[in-house]
Amino acid sequence: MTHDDVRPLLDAYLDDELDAASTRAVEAHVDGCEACSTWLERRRVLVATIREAPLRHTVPDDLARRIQRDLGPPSRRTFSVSWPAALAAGALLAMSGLFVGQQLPGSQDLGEDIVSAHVRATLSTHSLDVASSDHHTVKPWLSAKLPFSPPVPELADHGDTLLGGRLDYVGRTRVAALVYQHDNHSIDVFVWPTAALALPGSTTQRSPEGYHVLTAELGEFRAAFVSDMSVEELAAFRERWLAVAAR
Amino acid sequence: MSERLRARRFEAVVLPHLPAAYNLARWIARNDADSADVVQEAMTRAFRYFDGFRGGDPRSWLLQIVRNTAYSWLAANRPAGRVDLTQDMVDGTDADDHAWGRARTDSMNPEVVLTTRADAHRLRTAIAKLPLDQREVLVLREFEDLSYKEIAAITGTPIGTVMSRLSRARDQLAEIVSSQETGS
Repeated sequence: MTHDDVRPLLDAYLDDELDAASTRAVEAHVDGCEACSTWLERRRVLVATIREAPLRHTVPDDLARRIQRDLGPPSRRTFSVSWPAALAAGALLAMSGLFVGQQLPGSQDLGEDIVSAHVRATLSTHSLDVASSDHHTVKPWLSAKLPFSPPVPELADHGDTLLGGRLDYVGRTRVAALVYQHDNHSIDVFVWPTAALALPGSTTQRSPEGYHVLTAELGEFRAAFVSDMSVEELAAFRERWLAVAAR
Repeated sequence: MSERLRARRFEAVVLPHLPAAYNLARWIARNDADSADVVQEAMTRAFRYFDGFRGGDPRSWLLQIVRNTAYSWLAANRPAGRVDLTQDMVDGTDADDHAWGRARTDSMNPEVVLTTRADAHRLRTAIAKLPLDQREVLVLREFEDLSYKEIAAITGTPIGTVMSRLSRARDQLAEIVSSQETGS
């Protein structure tokens, strides 16, 4: 390739948008061309600069509210909290000594965010970033992508199959999502460091579509369990998960 | 699907991409009030067409609607060529630019282009001044990290055109950054 052939391809090369043959041809030229390799390096810096600079416009506060209003009444009004189950679960867990269910004010939105993250993943084709039933595969993968190393219990003994994990967001907090299957139900377990995010305001929440959210604390981590299974089944799953995670 | 469930799914699948939608609209329309109107209108349209959304990437799907809405809005409300850039000239707080400039200076590799608070300001102004067809491609690539193919689909242009527009946009911004460099 000549200089004139290569020059128009350099941006696409930088963006990893060339096919294998063109990539090789560009590299063959750039290796021997001081002008092109200097140009490429400067371009790389320019692109990094643009991407890192504070140039994104942020959503005005009232816009999200205006859009919510257009969509109809906010669904969180129908978000109900089943107190007896929450209290029973809290008592049970307090006795088990593993953790204490905690209630923090003003965090019902978090339950919403957890259900949203679960629904988003189950509706899209993207429910797993790493597909493996082996925690020796899933845990290192998540640890490499996150600033913490979440517990990844394998629960195969109880008919709970670990399907894998993915990176997700709850609100704006980056969390580890572990995906399990039990019978026909998919269960997401979101895990994050205690300091990163408060727990939902109650230990049990039920969304209009029948998703349940349970939460737990385990050492330096907090976890939220979400599934469309019954709250009793999900609580039992949580017990099994915590028992293995605490080992 | 019940209307409530439909709204709930829309909230879960599409609404998380509101920041990307607003950023694109804002870089196209170039002022806050118009951009908010464009995005609100686009979200209403997206919700109306939501039944037609069959998997795929919801962000690209939404951004295409936002872009089309913004273009219709521009055609109806803004006579060609009359653009007020005043807001972009003063946009972005000094504090933002300052903090960024300082962070860059602290972590700076001396061989790397020196980027300062003044550069953030120059870049913002320079991007705002790019022709619209180049500007939208640059925003989708650098801020949304979309592939050429996705950008081509959103903007309804061939991939080769995306490639050349992006190159021209970067060429212009490179001049800004290098003129800053030699000037300091």
